Amino acid sequence: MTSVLGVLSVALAFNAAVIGVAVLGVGLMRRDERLLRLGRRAVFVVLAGAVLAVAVMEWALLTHDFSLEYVVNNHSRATPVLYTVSALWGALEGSILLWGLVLAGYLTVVAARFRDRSADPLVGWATLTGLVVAAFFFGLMLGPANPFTEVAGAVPADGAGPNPLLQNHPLMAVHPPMLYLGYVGFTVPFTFAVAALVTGRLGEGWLTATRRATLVAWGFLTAGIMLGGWWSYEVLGWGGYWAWDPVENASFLPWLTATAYLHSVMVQERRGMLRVWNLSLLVATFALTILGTFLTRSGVVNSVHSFTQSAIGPALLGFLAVVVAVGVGLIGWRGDRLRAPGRIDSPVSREAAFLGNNVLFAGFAFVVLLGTVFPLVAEAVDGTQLSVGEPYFDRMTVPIGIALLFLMAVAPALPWRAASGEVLRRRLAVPAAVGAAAMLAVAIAGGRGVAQLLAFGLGAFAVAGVVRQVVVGVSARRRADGVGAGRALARMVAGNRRLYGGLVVHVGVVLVAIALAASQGYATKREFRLEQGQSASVRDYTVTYLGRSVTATGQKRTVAARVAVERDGSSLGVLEPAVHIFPNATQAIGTPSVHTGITEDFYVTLVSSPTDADRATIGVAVNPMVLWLWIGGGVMVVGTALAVWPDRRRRRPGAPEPVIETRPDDEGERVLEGVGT
Amino acid sequence: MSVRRLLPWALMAAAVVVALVLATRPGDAPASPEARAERLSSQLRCPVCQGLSVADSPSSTARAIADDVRRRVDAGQTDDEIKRAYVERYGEWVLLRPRSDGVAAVVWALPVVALVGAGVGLAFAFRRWSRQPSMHATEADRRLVEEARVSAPGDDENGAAT
Amino acid sequence: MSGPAGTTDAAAPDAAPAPRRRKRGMTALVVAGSVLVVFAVLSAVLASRLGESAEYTPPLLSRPVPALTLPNLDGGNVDLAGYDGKVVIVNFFNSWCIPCKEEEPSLIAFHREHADEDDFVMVGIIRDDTVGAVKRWREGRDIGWTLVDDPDGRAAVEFATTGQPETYAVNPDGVIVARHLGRATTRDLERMLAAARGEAVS
Repeated sequence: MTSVLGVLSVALAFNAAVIGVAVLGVGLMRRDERLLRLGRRAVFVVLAGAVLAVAVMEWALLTHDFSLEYVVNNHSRATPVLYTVSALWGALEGSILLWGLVLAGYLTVVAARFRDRSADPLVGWATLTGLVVAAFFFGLMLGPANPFTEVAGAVPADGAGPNPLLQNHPLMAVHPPMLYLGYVGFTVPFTFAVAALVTGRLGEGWLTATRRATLVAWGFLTAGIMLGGWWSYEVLGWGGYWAWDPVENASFLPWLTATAYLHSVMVQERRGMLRVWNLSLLVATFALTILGTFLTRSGVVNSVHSFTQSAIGPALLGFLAVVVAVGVGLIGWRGDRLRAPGRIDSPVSREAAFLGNNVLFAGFAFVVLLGTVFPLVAEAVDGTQLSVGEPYFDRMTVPIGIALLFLMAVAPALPWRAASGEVLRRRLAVPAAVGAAAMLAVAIAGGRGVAQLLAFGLGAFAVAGVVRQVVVGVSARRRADGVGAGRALARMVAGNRRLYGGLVVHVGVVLVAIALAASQGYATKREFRLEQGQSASVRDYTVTYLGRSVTATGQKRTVAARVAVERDGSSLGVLEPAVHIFPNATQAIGTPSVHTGITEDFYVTLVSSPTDADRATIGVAVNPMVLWLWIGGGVMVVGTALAVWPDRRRRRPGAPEPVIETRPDDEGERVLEGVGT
Repeated sequence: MSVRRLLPWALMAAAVVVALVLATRPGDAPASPEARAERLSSQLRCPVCQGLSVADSPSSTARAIADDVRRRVDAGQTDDEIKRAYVERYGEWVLLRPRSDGVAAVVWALPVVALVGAGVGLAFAFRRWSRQPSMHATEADRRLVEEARVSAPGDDENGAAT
Repeated sequence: MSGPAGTTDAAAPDAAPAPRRRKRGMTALVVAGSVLVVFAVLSAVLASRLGESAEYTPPLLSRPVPALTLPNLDGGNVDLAGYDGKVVIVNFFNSWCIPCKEEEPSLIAFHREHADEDDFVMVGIIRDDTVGAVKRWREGRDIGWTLVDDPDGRAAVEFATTGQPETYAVNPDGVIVARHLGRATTRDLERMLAAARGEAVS
């Protein structure tokens, strides 16, 4: 019964998507506006089907309906409610279902925002492309990834419960949906890019239409990646947050290309240049989300995140091939129309800095992609199993990261077109001095390592630059409007939230960079074998092993050590790092216990074997500034929100766009420059 | 450029150089057995984990390997000997930093090739741009820009990314 | 084709001379073509990995058994390399791992079957556990084979183990010739014994 309901909901969404594609296709060919208006309504039916399907699955999970295979495999009567709800995205089929829901949601928002322009072929093609993607994912659920398969034979009384790693921290309930909101969101700019290429309307109109969708997706992906790192740090117990695991890399790749796009798109808006490049970045970003899904879901890589091998690998690979072929084919076909006659006048200008930024981000993405797939290539070529791990990625990406930090410090101060020495001196002298002073201060305080010092110095340089820009802007606004500093700041930010949102994101990036440098460079790690009551010291901390407790909950046996922690004689409380034993696991799974602080975390793990009663081997680590990683991520998300939050006075997109479309003829550009937009 | 103008930049450069020298001065016994064992462990892949190094992994297997590495260091084996011993047991797979010969060399070489390619491409692009006849701003254009600058509140950079 | 769309926001000016445009069209074609070729190669590689296990398995050691002396739980020491001319079945195990418990009946049956054969030795090596816990576990069980401790995990590393249970077979020349990762059945154990004796493997 449940199974039938679920399959019917998925079928509703799938059929609506297919019919929508057909109606829109015919409408576009015949230029029939009625068909275009009709076809766009398919999006709402897709959403209805997706919502129904998700509701059926959640209902089945919450009511312990073990007639569904998915419920049997990912739920048990003992599972707490939070992990019951999150079981929807705990395994392959359910995660595809969530994907379908998020995609339907995005398509619906687009359809609603463009309701006044539904007869526009550009919007028609974009909707059609979005529905094709939706048809693919709902098709997966009718074929190889059916979440509503019934159990064979008798309905069992209880199920296996979620994967142990997915049910020991509440972050697991938030991290995947964030990641999907990011991943799936990149479908929207992709559909508009395809529409612009097909219709030949390659001006900047479609860009402004999808700018916000790209930023929203980027913000969610940023949050998702950060939460993933946090989960890794709090749950996996190795003291780190990023292991260059193939699936982590898969989520990072579209982030890199999307970040490149968010910068280079400004060159196109302003100068009408880099059109081929921007379209390529959008296609690449979407293709990389599909590649990432393929890597996670097909079982070709062995990863902490990968689900068991499944039959959807070939389907995803085929879809990826279609996406790449269509994207590259369309761009190649429109290639000479996309040529803009503009030029970058000087290597020391805002647009040149964006170009440099893009080369670095593209290089970053290339290195990460290469390192991720290289073991697969090597094994296919001559059968050797080899690894590409952290030492490789660190060696390759740290220099790129430092160069990006430098650009981030300098570029916002560069004027468009060309910079005079005088302007550079005026804008950069003070921030650069702050950066140099910060470097010197850290070095005198005992900081080591060239990369670390450069991260601190360039970070201070960048933040000082942001502060200078805001101070100069506020005082000018105060002079012009004759208001107080607070009101001047509010007006200035309200007048250009995209710029100031971007600067807030930059501050977040600096916090993340500094936290990375400090926690990677200055961590202390020790291991102690302690008798009950015995103590040991690391830096100014003292740990005392008090004893251990053994508990059995459901199928899980937990051995926890009680460790008293003191710092400079004052107690920080008792931490309880633990080891869990699950059935069928040939390894015990550890859970760390962390005392979080403003400047450093004290991180304790239980290393010794679960049967070791009298003594315990305790791993302790002092990890500096890790908290700032999460704060920096939060600041990045806040900055993104500031940039995308809807403006009350904002015109509806149905109305003519306020932004002048740059035409690649000299006259239009000169006018645009002149008024300073 | 006058000396007074150059002075602050020279001071900054000096501060950066001093800081970098301070940061790279030899620290606590660089080749101490602990440091060597730790560095080697961070380059060996934990065989029971997901992509973690032996140094990072809290698993018992990784701890046993770390102890073994330390024993080998104390026994006077060189880095290469220790790595070779592990490759013999676990295969090339155990090295987190791929070797720079054989098939694995590609993973090191390709980024360099791409970097050089991008540099050459950019150089060509700038050369072509500089040969292209630029559009010259007329006197009228300049006046227009000046007026806009004067009437716009604040520094022009604060409106720059609209 | 200008697309089914009626309007064109920004068409490139047709000012460029024809040969120049053709050359640019060629460049676009070459770039697009090479991107597609690279992608095709990559997808071929990815496709070839489909269905293959991504699990890492260490290469099977055809190496001499490590010369380690390990403390016997019943006193004395056991020299792993000292069983010249005998087939040695080495089993890594512990008292808390659940697959080890499931493997136990197979090991007991297998050992009982071969215990009185002259060339047969079976050694259990403790992996990630304490001697006390294993001794408690052994009480009331019919464990007839030698159990040894691996106090600093050297044996586990020398055999390149990735977990427990794991079973290895050493031939009479002292070379490790067969291996089973995870829970072994009597059939698996018989096959390994046959391989170590140089008999045809069925």
